[in-house]
Amino acid sequence: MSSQNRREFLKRMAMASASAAAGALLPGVAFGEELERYLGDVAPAADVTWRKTPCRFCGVGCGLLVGVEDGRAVAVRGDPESPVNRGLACVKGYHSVQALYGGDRITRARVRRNGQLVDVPIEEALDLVADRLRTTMEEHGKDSVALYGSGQWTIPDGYVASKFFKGGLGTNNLEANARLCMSSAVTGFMTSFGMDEPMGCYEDIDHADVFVLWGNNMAEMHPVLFSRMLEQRQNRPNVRIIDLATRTTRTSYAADRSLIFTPQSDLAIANAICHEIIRRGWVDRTFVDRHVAFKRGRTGIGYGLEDDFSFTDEARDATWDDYVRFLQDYTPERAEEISGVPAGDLRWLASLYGDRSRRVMSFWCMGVNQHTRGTWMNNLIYNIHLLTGKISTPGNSPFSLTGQPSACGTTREVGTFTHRLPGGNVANESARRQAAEIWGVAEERLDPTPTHHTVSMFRALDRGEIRFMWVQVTNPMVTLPHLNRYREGAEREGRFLVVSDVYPTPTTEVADVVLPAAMWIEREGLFGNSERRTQHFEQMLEPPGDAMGDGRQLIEVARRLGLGELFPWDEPDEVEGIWDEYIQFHDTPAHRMASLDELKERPGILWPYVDGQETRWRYNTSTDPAADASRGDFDFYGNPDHRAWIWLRPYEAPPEWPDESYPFWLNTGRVLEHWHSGSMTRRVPTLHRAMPEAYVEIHRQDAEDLGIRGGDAVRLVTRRGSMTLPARIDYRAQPPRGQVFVPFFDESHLINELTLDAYCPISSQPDYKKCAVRVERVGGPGVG
Amino acid sequence: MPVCSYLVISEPNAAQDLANRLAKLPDCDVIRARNRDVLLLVTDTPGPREDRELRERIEGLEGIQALVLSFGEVDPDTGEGDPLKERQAR
Repeated sequence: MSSQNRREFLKRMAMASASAAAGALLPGVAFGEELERYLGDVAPAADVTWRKTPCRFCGVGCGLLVGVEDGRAVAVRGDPESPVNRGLACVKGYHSVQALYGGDRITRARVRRNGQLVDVPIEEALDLVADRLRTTMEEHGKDSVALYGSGQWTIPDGYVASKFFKGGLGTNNLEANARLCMSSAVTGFMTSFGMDEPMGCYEDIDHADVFVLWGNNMAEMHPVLFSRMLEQRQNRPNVRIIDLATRTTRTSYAADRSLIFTPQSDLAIANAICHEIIRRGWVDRTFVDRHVAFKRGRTGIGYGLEDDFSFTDEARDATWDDYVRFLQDYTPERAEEISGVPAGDLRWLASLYGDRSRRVMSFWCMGVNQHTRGTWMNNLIYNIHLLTGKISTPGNSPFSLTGQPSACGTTREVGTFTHRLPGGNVANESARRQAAEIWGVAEERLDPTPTHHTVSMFRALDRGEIRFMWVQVTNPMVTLPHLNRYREGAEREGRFLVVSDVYPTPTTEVADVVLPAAMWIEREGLFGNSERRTQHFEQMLEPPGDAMGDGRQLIEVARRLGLGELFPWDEPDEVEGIWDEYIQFHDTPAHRMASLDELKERPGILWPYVDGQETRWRYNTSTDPAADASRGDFDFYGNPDHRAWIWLRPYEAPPEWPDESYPFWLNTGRVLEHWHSGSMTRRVPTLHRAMPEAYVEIHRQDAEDLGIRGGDAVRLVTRRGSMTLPARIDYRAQPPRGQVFVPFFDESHLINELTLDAYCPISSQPDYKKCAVRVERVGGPGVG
Repeated sequence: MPVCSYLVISEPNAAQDLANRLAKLPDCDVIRARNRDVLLLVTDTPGPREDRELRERIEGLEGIQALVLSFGEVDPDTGEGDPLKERQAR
């Protein structure tokens, strides 16, 4: 393409991006023929080829079309064929290919010598990794080595990781950062339904009348789904969007109502809604009698702050009467005392769920999951939908969103956690037998005992029980809570850290070996999104330098350890071979997956995929091939009693609460422009310019009381550390009085040095949303 | 040679006047929505300095309620606009 044509092409893409943004923010906005003429006038880009892929970033799984010219990705547009986004894309999606071309891309392997990382040939680095893995296991045992990955692993990469460490090395020291973002969703699904992942799908958005967003800033974190919701409200006047949150955000401004609650009190709110539903007679008794059972678990369950903490829940039978008695503690007035939300508003919220003429979707993500009672909160939202029978039918859908492109597809479905195998838990004999048969290893090779969840794994690294750790596609030295402890642990004498990544990060800074990784469309792969949709992408670009896919790196090291027979695949058929083996684990009507050929042709396919049909609503006997119609309209076959379980889960306070020394709540999270730790999006010029550094968001009155003005340097102090950041007042969001918010994308302001490593005892997911902090003015802008 | 696009939300009933003034600025293409006080703006400037100057002129116009950057392209040949280079330069 000539330079002039390239500029015209870019202008067309720029205009298309702005019009898409307008459409997302202002549904129904029309630009007419002038826009069509502008986009059409520009000479068609004949040299650009367009290929489909899921987006590299969040768990929504938008379909994108990437334009490639002369071996370089030059443009992106939303895929109009994708049922997820229907041609839309968010600002991160539009700029996703630019994340491939940051100037400091890691292209060569590096090994630490005399304290410095120096370039070495990739074969030498892989030899070193294999040698250290072998000698560490010989000296300290099989559980002295660990692999830590993420929901950004492709499905084949995650499968190779599981087979290598569990089937090859025989250790369960395999975890993924998805533990930090959605393990409470998993344990919520497992405890309520006996099976993971949502029963509904994004199509529910087209049918729902009410959307209740539980601590979920979808306008910034899941903007394409949010725009689909806004479109429904534009087209159907009865649609209502309710924002239930701890701070006022862009989502609050777009919602019909925003209810701000005290951190942790969502537990009381959910129970109060159920109290009101029962009191007003809005229970669907037929549904409850036929399809629901009641359970109690343990209470006063702790927060996981001790290194030797352990917890096992116990499900005990309860009755309808037990449940009604339990809810007597959660009148709307009592919930108002705990949450600060007026009792009248809670009654109104209950009436939306209780109104039989309205179909209701509940959405949630990190606000519910990153919670010391995250599993309980997931259970409590399901309780509301189960009481009212609003589940597993179009538009009636409790829906847990995810943050990574394959948190579901890889970490949850492949099972890249210490307790999982692709076909079930390691403790389950039949799951071990299945894995042994498919992998061709002795059943005794598979250890039946889980070892460490993520926080525990890094504590074990600190203590020296783990000596070798390999980190792939994630950046724990930004994202772990109580970060100082775990960074010091990784740097201790006698630890060996291997990091595979595409850019230098605070994690590569402490590595002994850095391996250059191929990114996204530089290799073939598959992702699985939040609605059970599996999507394939082909290799479109050559990886730079010596970079190779994460799974390929694992295979190279496994072969060096004499485990080559487990990994017989080579490119170009590597992904096909892995996929064909992997889907044997899910070859039942409850989880059957499509063939690779079908996935190559289509913009993703929902599982269970049986006889050429996707399953949009699980457990509904008219739509789910695994459900038994003799049980009525629904069959919750994940539980042995074929019922969904309503749990009696109380409100319990968080481990830290603001006091005289630390009088504010500290909440952390994400922003629209940056994806998680920012290692990719901070390399994208537009995104970096739009949001160059982290800040502390503070309420105007609190700022005035402390003498703080916008832009002033402010020191935050918690029991774990301190940090200075610029203040933002009435910025894009506003916390209530007594709370501050800091985004975590900025590696020059590692806010997780201040957060608390308390976690939900059932899911082991940390709570990044609440700890106690002191706020001090340091000086004017630029100070500190 | 930056190419950028913006979503421009005008003050009520000021969209047409604002579109006229934006169209008179150099290196600007502007399209007005038919049914909202919203404009789409694409800028195509010779270099980063001109890009900054143009942005300041746009921000100085009356009648703009919000200016939202939607797209920005780094020049692959010169690296202009590369955040790594910007950080190193600082």
